Amino acid sequence: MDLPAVVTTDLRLNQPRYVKLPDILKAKSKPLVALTPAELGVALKPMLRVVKVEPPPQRQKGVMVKDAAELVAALKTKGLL
Amino acid sequence: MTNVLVVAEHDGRTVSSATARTVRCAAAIPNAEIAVVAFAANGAALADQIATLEGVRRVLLVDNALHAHPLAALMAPQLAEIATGCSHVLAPATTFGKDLLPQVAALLGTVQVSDIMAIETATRFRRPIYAGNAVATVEVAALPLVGTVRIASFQPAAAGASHAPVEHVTPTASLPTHTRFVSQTVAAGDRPDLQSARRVVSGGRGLGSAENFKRIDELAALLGAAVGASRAAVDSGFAPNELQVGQTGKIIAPELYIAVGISGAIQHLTGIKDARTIVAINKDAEAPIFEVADIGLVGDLFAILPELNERLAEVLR
Ligand SMILES: Cc1cc2nc3c(=O)[nH]c(=O)nc-3n(C[C@H](O)[C@H](O)[C@H](O)COP(=O)(O)OP(=O)(O)OC[C@H]3O[C@@H](n4cnc5c(N)ncnc54)[C@H](O)[C@@H]3O)c2cc1C
Repeated sequence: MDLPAVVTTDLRLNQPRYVKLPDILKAKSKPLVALTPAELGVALKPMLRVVKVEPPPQRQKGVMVKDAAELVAALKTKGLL
Repeated sequence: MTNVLVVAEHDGRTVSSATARTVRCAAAIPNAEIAVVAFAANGAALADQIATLEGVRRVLLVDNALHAHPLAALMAPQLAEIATGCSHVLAPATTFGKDLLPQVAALLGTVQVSDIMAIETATRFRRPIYAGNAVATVEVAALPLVGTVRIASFQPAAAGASHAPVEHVTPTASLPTHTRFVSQTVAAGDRPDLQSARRVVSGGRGLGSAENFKRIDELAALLGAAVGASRAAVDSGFAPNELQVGQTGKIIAPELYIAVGISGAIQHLTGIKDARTIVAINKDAEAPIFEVADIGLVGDLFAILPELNERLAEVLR
C-alpha cells in the first residue's frame, strides 16, 4: 500500500513495552496542547443516542453428568448426535 | 418503503451463511425492500444463489476481475455510490463487514451501528456493549445508517424457491490504487468453518500443549465439528489465531459447543452465549464455565476424551 496509511494490527503482534518510571516523570513536564473540534474544522453533532442499557439475558445452569457414557447419553437425549 | 442494501460476503463461489443471517436481520426492518450487492469476478452463479434467499427483492452484481480478491478499499467507494437512496446498508459483523463498513460510513458521512442483535424500529437497535456484559438500545437521529449485524443473533434466511432478478451494475466511482492485493494464505484444514459450523469443539489452556491439542481435533473430526480455542490456548501456541473464540475472536452460535479445559472467562463466554447447547469438560468443579453449561462433566480431560471418543464413535457409526 501507499503511505500514509491507517493500519490495525493483530492482538499478538508483539509484547507491548511497559513505561519506565523515569519516563512517567518526564512525561509530566511535556507540553499538553488542548484542541477544540472547532479549531480542527469539525462540527460535532451526536448521531447516536443511547436509549437504555440493560443486563443481557442469563443462561440457565444445566445438568452435571458423571462420566463420558452419561455425556453421550445426554447428547443423544437432546437429539444432538 | 425502506430500501435496505445488504453486502454479500462470499468466497467467490458460495455466499456465506453470515450473509443469509444478515438478510434475515434486514427483513426485520419494517417495510424493508431488500437488495443484496455482491462484488465478485465472474459472479453470475453466485448472484443466482443469493437471488434465492428469502426476502431478497433484487441482487446487484458488480462484476469485475479486480473483485477476485475483494479489498475493502476497492469496494467502499463503489458501495457508497450504490447506496445512494438507501436507508440502511448492512453487512455481517465478521472481519469482512468490520473492515468494509466503517469506510462506507465515512464516505457517506453517516453513523455506524455495530453488532446489531435486534431491530426495534427502522432507527432503533439493540447491541451488546462491554464485551456482552450489557445490552444497549440505541437510536439514530437520521437515516441513512450503516450497520454491522451480530450474526449469532439471527437465523439464516431460507434459500427458497423464489428467484429475485439479478442486475449488473457498474459504479463510476474511481477505484483507489493505494491498496493492492498481493497474496492470500489460507490455513489448510479440512474442518468446517468455525463461524458457520453447527458443532464446535474448543480447547483451552487445560490441554497443556500443541501436541495434546490434537485430542480436540480428533473429537471434532468424529463430530464433523469445527475446532475453536480459548485465548490462552492461542497465546500459548496450541492453536492458530483464527481459531480464537470470544470477545477478541469469533462470536459463534453453533447448535453444540463443547469446551474442553476452558475455565469460562467472561471474554470467552461472550463468544458462545448464543450456542444452543454448551457442554463443558473441566477438572475444576468451580470453573465458571459450569455456570453456563447445559451439560457439565467434572474430570481430567486426558482420561475423559479417549473414552468419549470411543463411545461417540460407537454411537455415530
Ligand atoms: C480484553 C480481553 C479480551 C479477551 N478476549 C478473549 C477471547 O476472545 N477469547 C478467550 O477465550 N479469552 C479472551 N480473553 C482472555 C480470558 O480472560 C481468559 O484469560 C482466557 O479465556 C482463559 O483461557 P482458558 O480458559 O483456556 O485458560 P484458563 O483460564 O487457564 O483455564 C484453563 C482451565 O482448564 C482446566 N484444566 C486444566 N487441566 C485440566 C485437565 N487435565 N482436565 C480438565 N480440565 C483441566 C482448569 O481447571 C481451568 O479451568 C480476553 C481477555 C481480555 C483482558
